[in-house]
Amino acid sequence: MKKNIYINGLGNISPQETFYKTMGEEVVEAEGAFFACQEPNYKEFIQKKLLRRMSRIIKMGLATAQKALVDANHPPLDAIISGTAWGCVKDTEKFLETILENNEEYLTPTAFVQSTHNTVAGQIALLHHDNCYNMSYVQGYVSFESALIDAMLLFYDNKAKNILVNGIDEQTEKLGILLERLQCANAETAVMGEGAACLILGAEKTPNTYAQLAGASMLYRPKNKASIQQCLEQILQEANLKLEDIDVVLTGNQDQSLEMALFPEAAFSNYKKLCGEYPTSTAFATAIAAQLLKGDSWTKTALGINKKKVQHLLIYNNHQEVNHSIIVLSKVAQ
Amino acid sequence: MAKRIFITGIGVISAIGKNTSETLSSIKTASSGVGEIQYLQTVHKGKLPLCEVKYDNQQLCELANIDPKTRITRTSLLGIIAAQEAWRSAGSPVLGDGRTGVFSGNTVGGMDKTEHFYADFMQDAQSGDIKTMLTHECAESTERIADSLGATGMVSTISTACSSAANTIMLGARMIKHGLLDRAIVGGVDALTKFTVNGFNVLQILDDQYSQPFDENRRGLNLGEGAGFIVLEAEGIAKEEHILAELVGYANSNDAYHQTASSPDGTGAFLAMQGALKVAEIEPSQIDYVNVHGTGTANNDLSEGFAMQRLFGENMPKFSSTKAFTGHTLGASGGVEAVLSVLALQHKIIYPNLRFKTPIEALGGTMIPETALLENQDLTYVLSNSFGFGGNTSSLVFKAYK
Repeated sequence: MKKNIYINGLGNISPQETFYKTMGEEVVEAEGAFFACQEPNYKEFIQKKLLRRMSRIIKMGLATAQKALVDANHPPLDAIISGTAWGCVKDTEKFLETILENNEEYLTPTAFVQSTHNTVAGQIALLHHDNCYNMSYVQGYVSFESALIDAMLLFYDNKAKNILVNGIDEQTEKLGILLERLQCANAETAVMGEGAACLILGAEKTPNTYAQLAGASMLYRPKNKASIQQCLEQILQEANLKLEDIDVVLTGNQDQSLEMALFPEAAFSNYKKLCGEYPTSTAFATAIAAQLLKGDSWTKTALGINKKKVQHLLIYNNHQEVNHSIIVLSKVAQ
Repeated sequence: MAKRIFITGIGVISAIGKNTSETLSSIKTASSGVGEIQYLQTVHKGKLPLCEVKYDNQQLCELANIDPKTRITRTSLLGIIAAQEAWRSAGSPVLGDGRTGVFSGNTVGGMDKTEHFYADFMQDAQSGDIKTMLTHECAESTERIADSLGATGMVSTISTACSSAANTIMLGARMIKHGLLDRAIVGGVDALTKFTVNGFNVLQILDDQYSQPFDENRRGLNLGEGAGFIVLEAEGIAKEEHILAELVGYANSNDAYHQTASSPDGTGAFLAMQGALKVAEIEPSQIDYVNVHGTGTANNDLSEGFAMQRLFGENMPKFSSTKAFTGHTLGASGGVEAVLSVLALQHKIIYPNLRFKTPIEALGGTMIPETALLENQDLTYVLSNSFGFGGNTSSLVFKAYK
């Protein structure tokens, strides 16, 4: 059974000032091919003795989880679902380098233990002593969407009232070199980013509700544009919406011809100018879209959206014609 | 009424065989896959035993019908071989209508290739075959598997350590229940790498002899590699002649005790087993056989044993760990053991827990796994456990199709 799902809490670490504020007054621009996060003071959220051993992605994942839980007024969680493509890159590099440098001798376990892709979801459960459903998706550019869809199913199954969902990916210097060599990253056309965005989804509206999650879908190697359009129409139809109901499209694509043709009346903004390109960038887009729908003017300004009334918003990201992601959010009357 | 979920295909490759029939005959002859390292290039060769798939990558390419010059990881090759077998045994259904999902679990993706590349990369950041890195991510093997099958529905990858594959089976079932898919090819794959062998070795949970799951004198686990996939089909889609068993229960929980160790009382394991029985709407006494996670580490077997005692009380069902045959295949283990659970139901057999001698004292000395192959068993429900780092615990319940 389909059900209403609300975004009731947010934690967002990104290259913009999105952690302590909704969005900075000035949009931060990338310098060079990489866009790094503005990180908070982690000591506010994590014990000092634990912090010392943690890599950046774990800190970002835990701080955003903590922030989102406080924001949502600490609902008891029924599921913790993480999405990450690159996983714990720094710890993976560290362990791999030590193996190769020391010829498989004199190793210590910390980096290995923290290198697994489910580290952050596991650590959130550990910190909150939470035995609930716990999952980690690692499906490249639709890792966050996989997590969202899983969460939606749990709500439909009546298995959950409150779910933590995040999308997290970290950059490292070495990963940067690899991405440049793979011609994925360059200063002019493809600034690579990173980020950690955490949402608390709820089956009930609260005084803090940001927006309604009206739908999410992912497509793998769609045959043609018609099948993408069909998927878009279907997801809107399931939310009782028509194409013309969409007021704003947050796109992650350089070629926006498909979405421009489908939504001629909508305001457009490419959200990646704020966060750069990375696999779970749609989690960042969802977090700022939720802020926008709650009426945050800084976010609206940063995205360059002038439309006064924004009722329904669509996020669309197409990664190399392989993985397509569609997320629909709606404004909630308070 | 929710749709029933049938298993219509199974495929497996591990140290004990390249397909289901070889796997079954290895088990029937009590031939374990553990042995001295032959394929992995590591300093641990001759010291640590492993359960390697007994083919090099070139031979795996031939088995997978792939040009050996292709840039492809061992992970993808193992995955393609097992998923293809599962698909063929389901009657080779046409998958291009977008209604078939492919969900695979793994822990280190294409690390087997990455660690070779990285040795060059560390010498000089501009050297090494950079395209290798395109095969590094966990999702890559899943996409290769989906492409090899021509599947165009939802494709996703789960990485919850050693419970990864069990969680994909659960995801597939839930997607089908909701009518989002008609069919799902689910399971997992992991190839042995220096990264994993050294990781487990430094955690001091590897046995330098052949492992003895659930034994008082167990010393640790033997790592293995392989892949196991099953085909799930919705009631109404599954053809009667292909139905092998039914998936009736599944649950996931988190132990929330320690990043790598299980809680002493097995909270997560208990919650997962209990949850799976609840979904199956059966009582603990209805379980006929438990394919335990049973890695052979001091910690896992004790914790899992406590959780089983808490769930089953005096009426402990027959149980065994098949990891003494296959080794611990990590992200693949839930898939490999799902295939074994279905084979147990199909062939009415219970597997021996090889090398077991002495029951664990801390469990009261009463938890004795089956030590010989049992045939002609009247099996209705089989429970399969998969637990992993990060506290992830999952259990599945399979039912005989009679």
